[in-house]
Amino acid sequence: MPSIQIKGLQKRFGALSVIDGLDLDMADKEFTVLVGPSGCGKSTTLRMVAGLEDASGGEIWIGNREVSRLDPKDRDIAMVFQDYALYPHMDVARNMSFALRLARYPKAEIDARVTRVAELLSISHLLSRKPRELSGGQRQRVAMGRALVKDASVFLFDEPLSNLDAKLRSQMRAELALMRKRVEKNMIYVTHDQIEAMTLGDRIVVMHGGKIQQQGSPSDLYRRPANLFVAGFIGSPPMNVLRGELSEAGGRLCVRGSGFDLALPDQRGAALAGRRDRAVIVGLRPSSIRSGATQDGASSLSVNIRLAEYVGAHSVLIADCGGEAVTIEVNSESPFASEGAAQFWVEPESIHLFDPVTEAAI
Amino acid sequence: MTSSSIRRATPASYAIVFVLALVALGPILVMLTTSLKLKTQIFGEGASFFFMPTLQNYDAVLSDGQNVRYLTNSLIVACVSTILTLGFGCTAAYAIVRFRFLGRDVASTATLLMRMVPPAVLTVPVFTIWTYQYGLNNTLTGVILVYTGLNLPFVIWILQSFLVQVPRQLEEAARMDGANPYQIFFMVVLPLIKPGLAAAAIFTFRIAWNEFILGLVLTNRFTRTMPVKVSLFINEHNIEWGQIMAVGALIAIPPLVFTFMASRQIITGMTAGAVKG
Repeated sequence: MPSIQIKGLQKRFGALSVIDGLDLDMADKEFTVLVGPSGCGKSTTLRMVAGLEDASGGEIWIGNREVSRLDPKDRDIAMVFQDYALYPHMDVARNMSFALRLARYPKAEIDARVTRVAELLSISHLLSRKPRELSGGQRQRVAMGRALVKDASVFLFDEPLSNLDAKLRSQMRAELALMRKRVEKNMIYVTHDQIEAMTLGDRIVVMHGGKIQQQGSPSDLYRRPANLFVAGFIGSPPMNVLRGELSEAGGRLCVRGSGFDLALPDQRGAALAGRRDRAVIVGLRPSSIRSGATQDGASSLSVNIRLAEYVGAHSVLIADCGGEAVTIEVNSESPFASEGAAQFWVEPESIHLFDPVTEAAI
Repeated sequence: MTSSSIRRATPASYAIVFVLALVALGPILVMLTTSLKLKTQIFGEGASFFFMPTLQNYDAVLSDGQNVRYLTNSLIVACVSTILTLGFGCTAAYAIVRFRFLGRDVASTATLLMRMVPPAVLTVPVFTIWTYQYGLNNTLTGVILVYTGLNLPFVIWILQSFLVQVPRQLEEAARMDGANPYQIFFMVVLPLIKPGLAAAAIFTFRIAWNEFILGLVLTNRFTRTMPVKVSLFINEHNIEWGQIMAVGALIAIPPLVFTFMASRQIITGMTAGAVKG
């Protein structure tokens, strides 16, 4: 099975450049997720890989073939669409076998494949139904079945779960994760939902404004976001962003702002040497904020709690720190004030710093 | 519809419905009864609701070999022009809806403008061109062509409105499944616009079946169609009312059958379940 390479891919609509020189390498059998806000070019990229959209420039390699000028059917690709796109006048079995029938496979082979995939997706009992007689989740499964039956070497998913309700979505997400273990194929998955991206992807590609902001494993992106955009996009609830200033007090490096004074790990001293007494943007994950005060008082975050949202195992506090909104995740078991002033501290290792001009991570 | 908007039927509403039914069905009733009468009964005095029905008129009409030939002509003309119109119509409408090309909007509007020209206006030019340029006068081909041209604008227009409802994603899915443009059109798009095709077919068939003026001008005694033949029952000697009505009753049957057959295809919600609405 082949790897996928995208080299200098471009897409322009008239004068408007949607994607400008995108480079991306996907290893064999890798599950790549393209994630980003709507209009970031992720779907367009996927459609160009599929061949539904012509590339304005650049190359797309699948294995050792340059496919960007080929017809979709010659690219050995299967695709699952956002809105299912089932043929409404055909029953489920005929929907699934459409590609094979077009390719004139022998009937026995078609039947065998459809039966096998239907069992895999547990939709065997639906084979003689029409799409309109199916629920949303069943339709989505059939749409996946239609892609699986083709046994193509590359699978493309264009926001396949975005039409399902929240409960079904998490269920289908788990099924997808299971399915991809059984079906070892190259998969490219487009979504705007960072949770889907984090849970499904081997590799996540965060896109914004037609450019790749960062790519890497889910934990890479979560722990070491390359810039403020990725930091704000990955993680739920999103990272808190505060304005502050780097300073050194008593030989210790810290970052200060209105309402907070947080110690930074000593080993970062060298990297931050040139930025002393200059403005920085501080990024704090809601989950890395701890309640109480440190013993030496070196790290403090004073907030005014406005609201506590009880979620279950943890609670989310909506608070105010020096005029900026801050969300804090706390364990529901531990006692905390649900309103009023409170003290918190932050683990030095989990503080993210960004350049206020370039927004790149420091 | 909310329940408050459904009002109960009143005697007045029944009366209105009755009058409307009388207006619509009365002439048909007169046609049927007249076709079952002898000439003396038709012109006889007094109430004529009670009479001994006779099939003599039908016998006269059907035993005339000419009428059978004209009926066949009519069938050929109506069927062939319907098939041609639908064939050209659905492909043209598809091109206008789906493809981007120079003059697309002009083509779309122009087709409808063509429809606004009354057929009677076309009679003389069509006759001249058909006769002197192409030699198509007095042929069924000539009649079929002019009916096809006449109906095409409306069919293109009506099918456009059905085609824009076919989700583009379905066609993309078919492309991914390896269908070429013709397979997409015939295997995915056409089955979904069946209701539109049926409506267009009914419309086309009936126009072609009933058209009189162009049929009169462009045919001769071999290629005549049935509506033209009916008018020939009126001559300088007499008017064969019984036979006119019998022919009228007979030529109402094919479009009736055709309409019932085609209208079974008109079910709404063909694309239900295709994509999330």
